[in-house]
Amino acid sequence: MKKSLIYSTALKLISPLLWAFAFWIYWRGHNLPGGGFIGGLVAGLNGCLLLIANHQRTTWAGLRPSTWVGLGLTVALMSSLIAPVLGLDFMKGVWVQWPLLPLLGTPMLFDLGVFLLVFGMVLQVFQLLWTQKENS
Amino acid sequence: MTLLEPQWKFLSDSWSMMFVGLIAWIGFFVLAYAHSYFHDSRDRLKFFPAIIAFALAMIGVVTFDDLILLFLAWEATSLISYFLIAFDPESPKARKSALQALVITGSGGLALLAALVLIYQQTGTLSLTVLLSQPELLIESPELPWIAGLVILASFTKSAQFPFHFWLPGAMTAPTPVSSFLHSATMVKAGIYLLYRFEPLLSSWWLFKPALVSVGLGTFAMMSFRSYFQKDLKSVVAFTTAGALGLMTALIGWGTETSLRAVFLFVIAHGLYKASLFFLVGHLDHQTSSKEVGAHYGLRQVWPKSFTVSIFALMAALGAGPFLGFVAKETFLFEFSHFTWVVILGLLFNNFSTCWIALRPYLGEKISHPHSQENFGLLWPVLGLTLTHLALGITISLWSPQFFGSALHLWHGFNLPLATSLVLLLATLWMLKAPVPTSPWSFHESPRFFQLWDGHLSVAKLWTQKTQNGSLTFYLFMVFAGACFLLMTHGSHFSVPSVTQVLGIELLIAIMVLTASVFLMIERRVFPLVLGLSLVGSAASLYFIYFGALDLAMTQLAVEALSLLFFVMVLKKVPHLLDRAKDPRWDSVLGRITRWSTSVLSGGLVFWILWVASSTQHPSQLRQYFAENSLPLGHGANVVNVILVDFRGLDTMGEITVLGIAAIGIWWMISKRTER
Repeated sequence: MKKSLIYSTALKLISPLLWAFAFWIYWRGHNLPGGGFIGGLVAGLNGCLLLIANHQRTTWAGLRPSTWVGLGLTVALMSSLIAPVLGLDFMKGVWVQWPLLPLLGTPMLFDLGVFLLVFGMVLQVFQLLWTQKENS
Repeated sequence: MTLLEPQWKFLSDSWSMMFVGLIAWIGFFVLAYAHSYFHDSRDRLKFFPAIIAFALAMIGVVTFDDLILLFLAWEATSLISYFLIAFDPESPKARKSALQALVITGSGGLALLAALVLIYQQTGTLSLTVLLSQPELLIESPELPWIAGLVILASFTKSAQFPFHFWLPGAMTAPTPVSSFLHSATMVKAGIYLLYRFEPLLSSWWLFKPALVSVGLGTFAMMSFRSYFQKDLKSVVAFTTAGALGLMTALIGWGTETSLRAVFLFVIAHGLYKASLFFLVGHLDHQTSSKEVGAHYGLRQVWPKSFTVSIFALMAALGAGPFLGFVAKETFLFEFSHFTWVVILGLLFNNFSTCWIALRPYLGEKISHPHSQENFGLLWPVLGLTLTHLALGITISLWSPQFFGSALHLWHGFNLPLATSLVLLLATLWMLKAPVPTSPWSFHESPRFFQLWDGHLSVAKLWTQKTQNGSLTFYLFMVFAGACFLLMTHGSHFSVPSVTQVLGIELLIAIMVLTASVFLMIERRVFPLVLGLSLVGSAASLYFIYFGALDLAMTQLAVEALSLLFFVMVLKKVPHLLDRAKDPRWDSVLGRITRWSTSVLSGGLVFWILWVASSTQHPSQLRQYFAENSLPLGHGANVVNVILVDFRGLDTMGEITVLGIAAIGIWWMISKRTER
């Protein structure tokens, strides 16, 4: 497939915005419409666009998509294990009461895990389809 | 429910303790024997852990009070024996025999499980102690015939009774230490253990005694007879084992105090002498690499120690002199005077076969295998077991009143049993002159079994090919058609709801979705079809936005965008999908009508379900709870998100785990399939 100069140049501008947008959706999710799942989907879309622009790309921030899936699952599990470590029930929300950063708690960490997993999942599937040989 | 809470209680009556002692004592000699038998350290590493696990499972079978634990141990013995029979996994014959044994004993295990469920339903307890101390619980239950039948079935499969006997000779592909432990002394006795245990409960079923006595004696006579015509020394032992188990079954079925006592003694005697016969065959096989009947002769002259030990073991096996076997044999000969001829005939052939193993290889003037040596490491376990046999015989005859409340003597006058014994011994000695016997006819159960088994597998394969043909279109059709069928046949009790007010915007969205759907039905080109699907989803998200479900709408739109992207990718990579519309089979009138009617029907039914569901108002307390507690408990104003990550976080955890597993599946499906 031929590379389009317009497409890749435009993406250089749009892609950082999309990363920020995805993260913003995740961050506002606790109080406003949004959340880790949608954020992860948007981030995954952004990854797909980047992959179309750059054929050879296989890693994101040094990690392959499958690793992102595993990382997301690990983060989600870890966040739910914080409460038992503190002597509370499994998965009970633990919040840090700190006025400067109001959204700091294990449910947010859990949502981050969802975000990472969905991101990795979307990229995994797309990358597999994208890098397949043409005549299969 | 106490069903799945195992009660770690153990039985310690004489029947259980006798088995524990037998397993441990024979197990000790088997381990010693195996130490000399296996030279390869890999074989040892495979054998020792498995055999010890097996012995533990077997001790579990005979001591657990809780029937569920008994069942688990029972299944464990079947499973471990599977691995032990297939000890040499590269031999197809061993694998086949192992499979045959597992299928038969495993189906018996299922029968036992069914019996346990019935027992629990009928009596409310699974404790053997309770069942045996209150026998009326089971005896008066209307399901007694079923329970008895299933328990008998389980015992027959495990103890190789007709018509399940053929797995036992097949299992002889296992190495000798395995056979000597599993297929003579322990595993096959599990069925006998169970029958004896349940005898006081089940014997009130009218068929219990006839079934056990006829099948047991039949197996005894048939197997003893056939053992004489075997070509392989290990098969000879296997058939006599199945025969002896038949005799035990018959004695349990007979059910008198004396016959049960005979079983008790016979189990000990048989375990001890059959293991030592196996040891002797293994010794011959190990030292000369031949276990064919008639291949050995004259070994007396080069193997004096083996000869002495064999004579000693033979005496125990024939039930001579002061051995325990003598006491056991006299007891059941006395008890079975009704069936004297069957028993005598069976015993006669049993004795002949035993001579083939323990005596014939050593007689004669010519010497086979003059260069092979005897191996005392494989002989002293035989000596140990036979000495035990002798010691037990003397002990029992001296102190039996303490054990049984009545005396058992080595000498009780010249009576019919003793005369029978003497005649048997003389006949056996006379038969030593006979040449290698050829079977008057041949039996082959094992190929029959595998015909049945292969037939079963091919039916399963055919069924799978027809129902799982790999076509997604077919799967979807079956799912939707099945759902429609169920709803139409079972959904009639829902009342038809009244028409409620319809908003203009709803109507608008409905028209959009319907137009796109009709387009999907008539369009043939694939690419516009994909766009049409996208349109349906996007229109639905409009509906979500209108009713304030912004989270849902955002997700729906993101998913729509992604699936469009994926569809395009798939079409680009699998271009023949684009040609599919031209496929005459796909495009046939019948196919189109079927698909149309299914989609219209299932769409209509979903519409109807939603209509019914939305017109019935169930006051939900959850909704109010979540709305009120989202901020104070979950520190979040977005109720949907708080439910997902906090209130129902565990569900989300499960869902993302599934998502991760799906990622692995998709990876395999796409990358591995195209590699082939």
